[in-house]
Amino acid sequence: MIAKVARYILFSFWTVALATFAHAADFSGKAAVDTRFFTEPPIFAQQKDGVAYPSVMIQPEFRHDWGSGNNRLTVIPFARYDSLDKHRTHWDVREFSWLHMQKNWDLLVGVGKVFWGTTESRQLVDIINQSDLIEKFSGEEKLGQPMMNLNLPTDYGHFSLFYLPYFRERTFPSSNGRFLFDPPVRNSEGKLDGFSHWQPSFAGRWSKTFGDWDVGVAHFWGVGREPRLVPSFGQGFTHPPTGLVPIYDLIHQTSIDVQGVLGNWIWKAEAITRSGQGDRFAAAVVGFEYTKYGVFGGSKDVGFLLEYLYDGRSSFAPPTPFNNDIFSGIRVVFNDPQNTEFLFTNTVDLNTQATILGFNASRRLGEKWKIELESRFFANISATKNPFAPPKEILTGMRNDDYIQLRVVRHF
Amino acid sequence: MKLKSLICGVLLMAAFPALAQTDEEKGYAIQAEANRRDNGYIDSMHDAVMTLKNAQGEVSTREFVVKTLEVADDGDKEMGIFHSPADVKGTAVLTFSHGTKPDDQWIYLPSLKRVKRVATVNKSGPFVGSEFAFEDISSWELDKYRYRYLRDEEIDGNDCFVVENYPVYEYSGYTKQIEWLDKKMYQPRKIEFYDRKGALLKTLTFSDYNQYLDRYWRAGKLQMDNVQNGKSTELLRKNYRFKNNFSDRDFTENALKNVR
Repeated sequence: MIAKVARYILFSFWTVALATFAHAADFSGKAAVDTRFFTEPPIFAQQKDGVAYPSVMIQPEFRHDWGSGNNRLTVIPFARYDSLDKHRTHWDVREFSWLHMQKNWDLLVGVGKVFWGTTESRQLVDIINQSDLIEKFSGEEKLGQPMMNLNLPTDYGHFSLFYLPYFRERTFPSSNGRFLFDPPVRNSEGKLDGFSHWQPSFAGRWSKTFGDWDVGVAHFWGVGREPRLVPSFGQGFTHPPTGLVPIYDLIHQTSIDVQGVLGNWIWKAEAITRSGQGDRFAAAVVGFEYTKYGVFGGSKDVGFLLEYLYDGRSSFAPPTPFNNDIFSGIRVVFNDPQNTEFLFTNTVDLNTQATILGFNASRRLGEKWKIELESRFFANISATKNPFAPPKEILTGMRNDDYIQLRVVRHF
Repeated sequence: MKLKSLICGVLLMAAFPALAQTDEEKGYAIQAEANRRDNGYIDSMHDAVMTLKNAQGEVSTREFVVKTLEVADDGDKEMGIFHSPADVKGTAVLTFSHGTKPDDQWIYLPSLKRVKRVATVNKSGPFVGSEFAFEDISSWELDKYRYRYLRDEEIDGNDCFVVENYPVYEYSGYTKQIEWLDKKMYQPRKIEFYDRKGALLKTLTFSDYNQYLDRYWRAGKLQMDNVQNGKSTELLRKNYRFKNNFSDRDFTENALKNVR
């Protein structure tokens, strides 16, 4: 029923979106073809084991300002067709909002997207929007979030208040797709622990710049965006669990995020403390990016990234691979007219040595096109020994999902 | 006798300070006058089109809007909002200039909705792949340089002071600049940039000047030619608007998120 209502609302959004398109003052967006190449066969029998899987996406953006720029309508739908994973063939309303701006306040009503945070390796404090995990398994892509957001810039800092009337569940891959948990998540059995999708959440954030430092402090009260993953014994308790059921809880989360500049160094930190999922726990990411300018004979910049990740959550809380990890990276920015960039990253778990290697590259072609390469390689990730015990390493099901993705983007 | 002539000399110096001015003092006085004449406009806004041309003649363009707010006793606050190329549309850069101290800078990435701090010690790096370095387009503050007057010279029929500017902020890409400053407008006609080895690197030519609010001169066209690699960048500045009623709150990290 709720899914039906949600679908109806989303359909209405689409209709209005198309109507807006007809009169939009500002129309832009992007479309892309990406192909993922998998270098190893998947570990579960039901997964498709092809090598190359093309996928197409489109994300138009409509903006219309009126009332001498005090009002803005923003409509950003998103759609993807994927040849590998039927869950990944999906669409969403990323944004559909009315923004009213005054000198001393502004108010956004509708579906919006908000980012909080400073660190590179993990989005720890970012909590307003749900992760679109099938779009990108790192969780950086987000679903649109219905909200009322009041912003008050004052001499004492910037205050941002949120009323979030509707909760959206996280997306997960289908059982024949890639990047599965072990055992796979059965998303259709997802449960809210004693509340409905209309359970409201509330949040507030204060942020201020102190010279070279930017500081943000926030509190969130409502439905935690990360689900616990609880084993389901579809064939009885004498058989191994057949899947993991996502269960969402009401939580309180307080966070701080900081970034500051000291010469060539940019220092970054994020920390949270959360209650409502097992014992109260804390987690933090602290690190820096040091940039060396004008290397390799002229105008290229090289950035060295280092971050430490700690997470003190118990096994009753939603799982994370980042309990005690070191993230390092090298970013090369060419500063050329095509804006060429490389990023090499490496995340190592200090307890298990589980490693995720990453390589990203991008370059503009002409004025409207862009080519992007993204790849991840998993190493030192152990297989599950006891099928009844939950895997020690959350990445176990993904250990064969090394991939290289080539994306061609057309901006318009 | 000796004392008498000394007293005479001192009196003379007091009466005709120009006679006693060193070239350094004269260079500073000229630039201080340029600074004084340009003060007090409070805020401004203009559209910019940058055209990059490489040695093979291949062209690419960037369009952006620049908003500026004057700050008393410190450098200006400036916001640049990109409209093209399409992949950076909506990207906005906020800069608080400070004389010799490093600037504060933030960049807003619209696809991520994320504001990142930028390290600003990199004065000599290229601005969006162009032949303009960050230090060439950031707001000019009097105490960013030491000065030395060289000579008077006519350039395209305009009487100019020729002044050498020596950057005193750290990490400049230049040992010096030679500037031709128009005597009527107290605005530059031409600047030559000399690299760290002291060789001529780039020439910047200013043209299409217009006067606003009966006082402030703004060049409509800036042409930067790199004489070492043969590349060039043309910067057109159009639709200057003053008295926009901007305030500090329009130039904050959070304000970046709503600009278009």
